[in-house]
Amino acid sequence: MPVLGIDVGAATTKAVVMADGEILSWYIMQTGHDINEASETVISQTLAKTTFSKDELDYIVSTGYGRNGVRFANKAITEILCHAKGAYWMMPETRTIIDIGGQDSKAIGIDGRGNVENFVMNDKCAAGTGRFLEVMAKVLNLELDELGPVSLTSKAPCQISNTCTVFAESEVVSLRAEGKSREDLIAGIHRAAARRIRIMASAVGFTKEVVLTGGVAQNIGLKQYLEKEIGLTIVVPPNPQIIGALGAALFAGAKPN
Amino acid sequence: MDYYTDFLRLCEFQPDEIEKEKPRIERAFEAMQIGPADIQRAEKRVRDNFDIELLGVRQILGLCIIGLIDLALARQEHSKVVYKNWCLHSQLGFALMRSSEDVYVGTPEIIGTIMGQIFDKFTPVIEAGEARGLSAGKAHCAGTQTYLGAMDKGMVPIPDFMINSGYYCDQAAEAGELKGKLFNVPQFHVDGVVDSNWDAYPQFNKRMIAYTGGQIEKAIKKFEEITGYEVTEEMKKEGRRDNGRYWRNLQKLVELVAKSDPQAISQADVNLAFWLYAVPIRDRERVNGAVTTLIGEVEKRIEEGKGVVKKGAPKVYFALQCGVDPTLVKVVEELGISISVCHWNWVPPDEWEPRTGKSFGEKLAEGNCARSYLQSSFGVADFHKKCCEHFKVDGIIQIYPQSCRPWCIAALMARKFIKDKLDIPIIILEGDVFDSRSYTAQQLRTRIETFAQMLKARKAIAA
Repeated sequence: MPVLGIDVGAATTKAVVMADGEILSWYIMQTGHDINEASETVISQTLAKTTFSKDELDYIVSTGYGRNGVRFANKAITEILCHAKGAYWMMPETRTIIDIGGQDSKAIGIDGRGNVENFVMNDKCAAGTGRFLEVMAKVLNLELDELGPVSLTSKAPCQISNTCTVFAESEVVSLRAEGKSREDLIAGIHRAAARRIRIMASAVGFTKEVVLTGGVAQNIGLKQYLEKEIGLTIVVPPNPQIIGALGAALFAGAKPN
Repeated sequence: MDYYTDFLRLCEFQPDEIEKEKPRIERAFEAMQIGPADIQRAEKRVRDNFDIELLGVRQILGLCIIGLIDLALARQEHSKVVYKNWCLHSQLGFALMRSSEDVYVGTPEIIGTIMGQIFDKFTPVIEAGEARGLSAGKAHCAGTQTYLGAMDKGMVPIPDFMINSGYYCDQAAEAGELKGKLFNVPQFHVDGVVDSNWDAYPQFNKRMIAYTGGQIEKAIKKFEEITGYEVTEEMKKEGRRDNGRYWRNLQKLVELVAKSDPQAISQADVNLAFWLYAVPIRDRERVNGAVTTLIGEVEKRIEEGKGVVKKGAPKVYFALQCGVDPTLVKVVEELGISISVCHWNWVPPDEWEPRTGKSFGEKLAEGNCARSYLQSSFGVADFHKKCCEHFKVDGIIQIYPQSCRPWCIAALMARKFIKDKLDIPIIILEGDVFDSRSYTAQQLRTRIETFAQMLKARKAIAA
C-alpha cells in the first residue's frame, strides 16, 4: 500500500511516495505563500510519476514548518524526527545529521537504532542557511548552484566579519568595491557559514558518520568548508533535499498512532 | 454593569465586594492603564490558561487582582510606602507589614506576574525599564527592568524606601542605585554574598550568615527610621510563621500534583499559587485558605482519576518557570508531557532544617545559604538532581533565562552534570522569567514536540 511523506518547509515543499519500503517517486517545488496549494500541487506531481491516485494512499505524514497546515495529512511529525528517520534509513551508520534548509538549520544526534538523542535548531537567524547563500549569490551575480564550485577556486578566502545576513551583504558589496575577487568572497562566505553551523551543531557534537541534508547539502563548497571546521568527512546522501519527506513517508509506512 | 464586573466575578470577587470596592478598583485600573480591551483580553487569557473550574484557582486569581489594586493605591491609602524586591525573603516583608497598617510593604515585581500572566500587558513595562537605563540586549535582569519600568510608568507609586537584594545576581546593587537616583528614594542594599565554590554546598561560610544577617537587621533599622514604626521581635517571629505556613501549604499542593498520574492540574495553576508568595496580602489566612481549597480540589481530581495530561505520560522537571507567561507550560502539557514540578515550587526536605541563627536577619540569611540553587552552579545542578530523583522524572526541560547571567552558566553546567549522573535527556529552551519577548510557545513547539517523542521512545524501550 502506498504511503506519502510531505515536508512543507519555509522555502520548498517536498513529497516522497513509498510502497513496500521502496521509494516510488518524489518531487520538490517552491512553497510560495499558500501551503495548501503547495501541498496539493506537490502531491499531484509526485503521484503523477506513479500509477497511484491520492485516494489510494494508505497514510500521509506531514512534516516541516507547515506540517500542521496540511489538511489531508493523517499525522504531523516534527522535521527533526523525520530527518533522523530518513537519514538513518539511507545510511544506518549515521550518527550526526546536519540539515541546512532554506531558512533554518539543525543538528541532530542519533543512536545506533536511529533514535534522536539530542538536537539543536536555529530558526531565529538566517546566517548559515540557504537564504544567506541566496542573498550572496544575488549580490555577486551568480546562480545558486555556481557558488560551491566557484568557492573552491579561491586561494585566499576573505574574512567576512558580520554574522547577520543583511549586514554581511553590505560587507560583501564593500569588499567587492575594494577589488576582492568573486571566488575569494564566495569562499569567505562559505567559511563564515560553515563556522556558524559548526558553532550551532557543537551543542550536539560530531560523531561519525556525519550526514548533511537539505538543499544546501548540494553545495560542494560549503560541504568542504564544513568538513574543515569539524575535522570529519561529511556524507551527502543522494537527493539530500528530500530526506525530511522520506522520513515522513517512512513514518507513514509504520502508521504511527 | 461595569466593563470589569464579569472578569472580577471570574476571579471570585463577590458582587457586594465589587460594589463596595468599585472606587478603588477604578482608581487602580486607571493607574495600571487597564481598560476595557485589556479586561476582555485578560478574561480570554484566564479562560485559556487557567483551570477556572477550580474554586481555588479563581480565589488565587482574585488575590492577585487584590494585590495589584493594593499596590496601585499604596500611596493614596498609606502614609509610607516601602518596597522590597522579590529576591528578599517574603518573611521580611510580612514582618515589616506588621509594624503598622499605615505602612504599605510590597514587591513591585508582582506587576510582572500579574500584568503578564493575567493581562498579557507586560512588555510596555519592560520597555519602559529599558528606556530608563537598563537597555535591551545587555543581559540586564528583566526583574530589575520590571521594577524600574513600573515606577517610571507610574503604575506603582514612588516609595519612601527601597530594600534591594539579589542572591548571586551581580546587578541588583547597581540597579538599586539607579532606581534610587532616578526617583530620589533612599535605598538599602542587602548583600547576599551567597556565591561559593563548585563543591562547597551544602557547607557554607558561617561568616556569610553573620554578615548578611547583620545587613538585614540594618535594613530593618533603616525602615524603622524612615517610617517611624518599630518592628518588634514578635512581629519578626510572626513574619517567619506567616512565611512557613504558606510554604508548607504550597508544598502539599506541589507534592500532590507531582505524584499524580494523570497529572491532576496544570502547572500553570500551581505556578499561580507559587507566585502568590510575592503578593503582599495582609490577610494571610485568606491566602492560605485559597491554596488549601485548591489542595482539596486536587485531591478530589486524583480520586476521580482526572487529569490534564494522559496517564502514563513521560514526566519532566521544568527548570525555571516564566513568571509572566503561562503558555509555555501549557504547550508542554498539551504536547503530552507531564510536568511533575517546576523549579521554584519545591523545597527539598533537607533544606527545611530549623534555622539556628541568633537574629531574625541571621535566620533569613541561613535560609538563603541552605537553598542549594542560590549557592552556586553546583547548587543548581545538585537541586536539579534532587528534584529528578525525588520525583522520578524522565527528563528535564531547562529554560535558559536570557536576562540572567548567573543562571545561564548554571543551566549549561547543570545539563552536563545531570547527563553524567542520571543520564536522562535534557532540552534547553530559550526563555526568561520576566521577559517573554524573545520566544513564543508556538516557536518552541517543534522542539518540545520532538523532546516529547524522544521521552516516549525512551519510556517504551525501558518498559
